Amino acid sequence: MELLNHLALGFSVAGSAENLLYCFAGVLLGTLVGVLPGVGPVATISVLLPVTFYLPPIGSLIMLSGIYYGAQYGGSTTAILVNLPGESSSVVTCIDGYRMAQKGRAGAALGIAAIGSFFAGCVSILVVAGLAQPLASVALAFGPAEYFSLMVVGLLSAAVLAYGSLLKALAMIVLGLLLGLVGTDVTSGALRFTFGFDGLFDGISFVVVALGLFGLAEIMENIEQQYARQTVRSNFRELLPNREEMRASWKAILRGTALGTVLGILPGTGATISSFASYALERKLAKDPSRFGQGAIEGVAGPESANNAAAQTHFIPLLTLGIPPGPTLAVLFGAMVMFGITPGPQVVTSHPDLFWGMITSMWIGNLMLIVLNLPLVGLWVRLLAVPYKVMFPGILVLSCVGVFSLRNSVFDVVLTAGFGLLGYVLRKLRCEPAPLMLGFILGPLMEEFFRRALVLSRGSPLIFVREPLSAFFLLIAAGLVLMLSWSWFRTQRRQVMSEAG
Amino acid sequence: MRHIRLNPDLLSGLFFISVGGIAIGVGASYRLGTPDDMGPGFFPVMLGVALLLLGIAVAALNARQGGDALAAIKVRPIVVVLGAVVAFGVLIDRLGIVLTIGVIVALCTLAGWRTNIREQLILFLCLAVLVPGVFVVGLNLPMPLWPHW
Repeated sequence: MELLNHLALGFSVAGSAENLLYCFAGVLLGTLVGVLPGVGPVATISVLLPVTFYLPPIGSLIMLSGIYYGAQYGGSTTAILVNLPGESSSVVTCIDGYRMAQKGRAGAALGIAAIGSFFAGCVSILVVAGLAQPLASVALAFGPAEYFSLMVVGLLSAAVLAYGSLLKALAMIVLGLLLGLVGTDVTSGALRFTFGFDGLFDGISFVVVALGLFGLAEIMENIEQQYARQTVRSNFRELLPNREEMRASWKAILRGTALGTVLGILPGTGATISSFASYALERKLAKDPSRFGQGAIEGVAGPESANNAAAQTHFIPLLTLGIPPGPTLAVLFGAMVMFGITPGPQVVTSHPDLFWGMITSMWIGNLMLIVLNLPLVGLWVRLLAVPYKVMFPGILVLSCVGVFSLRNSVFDVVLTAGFGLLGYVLRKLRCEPAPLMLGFILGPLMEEFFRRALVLSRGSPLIFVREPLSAFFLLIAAGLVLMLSWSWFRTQRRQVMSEAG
Repeated sequence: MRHIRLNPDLLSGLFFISVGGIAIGVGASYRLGTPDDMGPGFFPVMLGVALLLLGIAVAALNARQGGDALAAIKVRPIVVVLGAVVAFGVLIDRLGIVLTIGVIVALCTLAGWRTNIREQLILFLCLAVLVPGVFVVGLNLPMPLWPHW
């Protein structure tokens, strides 16, 4: 019953005319971002942050999270219609979705993607609503040692699930943690790693890091590849899958939802990994696996449900434990802090309107997405015809304006360029920027919890293994590392990814 | 276009080693303190050591496995994108947002795509109306519209 009361509170917040508008703006922008390759949610949310200063916190967080899950939706549209994954989580959708489109079943593929996503969204929101409160109340009892160990688990699992080398991902996390320490140390007041620049006294803004590493670096890569879009030609009449296709898909939708819901709770590249995992699972379970790659509808239904479910349950670690599970939510974490709300277990009790409003807005947003996506498909496809050479100068200008308006600092703008260069070079060195972003956000917090834990234990590092919960977290962390050395897991992962790529 | 061919694992290892080294060096200049009373240098030095070790591991593993070829780092995207962003930073206070957008749009023609003057002019006009319209007039962000002498 309590849950019902909470949901009612949430709907009363999210259902206000003002917040419905923000939600709509968010999912609309998100779909746009998802449709357009070369424009990611991380950069979009960062660019929009200065605008949100002028909105109430709840409204802006509803809008920003709308961008996040809206992008998952939009990404699948272009994957199916033009074989272009707008987001990394829709890479697998290209395989069978595009084949279906070639066979004239584009409408069915789009339809099943929307139905699967909506179903997954509904289920996973219930999971978020149900799990958040108990998890938060457990987390409220955490001491500094537990928090520190929990963050270790969060960061490690992000590294384990990242693409490429584990060692590099770990190094990127540590690099991020270090960057997070730049500026004035809260405890001692000492200036650290400022190298004499006034602009660094308050630390590096997360907007600068996110826009440089993700936004600018993406533009540089697109320029390098002289990225051009194919002209789009698609014909689809009916937008609904036929009865036979529905029968083939519903189990895949259920399995994808379950898989995505579980994987999304784990920090890491949740949505992308779960869509890959769901694809692999569907092919394994299929009576005739050779159909996959030839336009099997399960290959669209499963992954699309999985990535949407994961995108929603990703909010669980953010809102209940205060741990951002991916780069986009790391930016959202920064935004919440800017609004004076520290993400973590206390959000549920101290800002119940915000917490439940955000969760129910996701359900409303999902409903809007289904309405937005199916009839407007033609419009999205036409948008793809806008050439990148016309788009990127606009993105560049918006990025600059966004960074500059944060605190009217020219230094921040130049620093963003520096992070853009770093991001471009790191991509060339096959180092993923996502773990760095997570480390950057958690750096100051981890230091604080580490310091407090050691004060409590009078300097003995054994406190991290003596506290049972903390020891449990560290055990999970060790297990994660062992899992990576488990060769089956590695080859399996590589196999799925090479087939998809 | 100059192409630099080297091994990504080795280079990233070296990069991590040097950043780790800097973190240790600079971090050690702050008060370290003791574990039960950590100074501002304690955590940075700890992270620096971790980064240094990880860098060594990345580079060493590469020496054993050989690693694969480095993708070419091109000059053009760096010049265009970083040039545009730095130009914004340098010019915004002097030229104002409208002319700065003009400079950025002009710089972007160097990105390698075939462009024509009409298309760029339309692009400039769109951005020069929309961006100041939304951010300066609409949201009142403190940013000069026009150059002031």
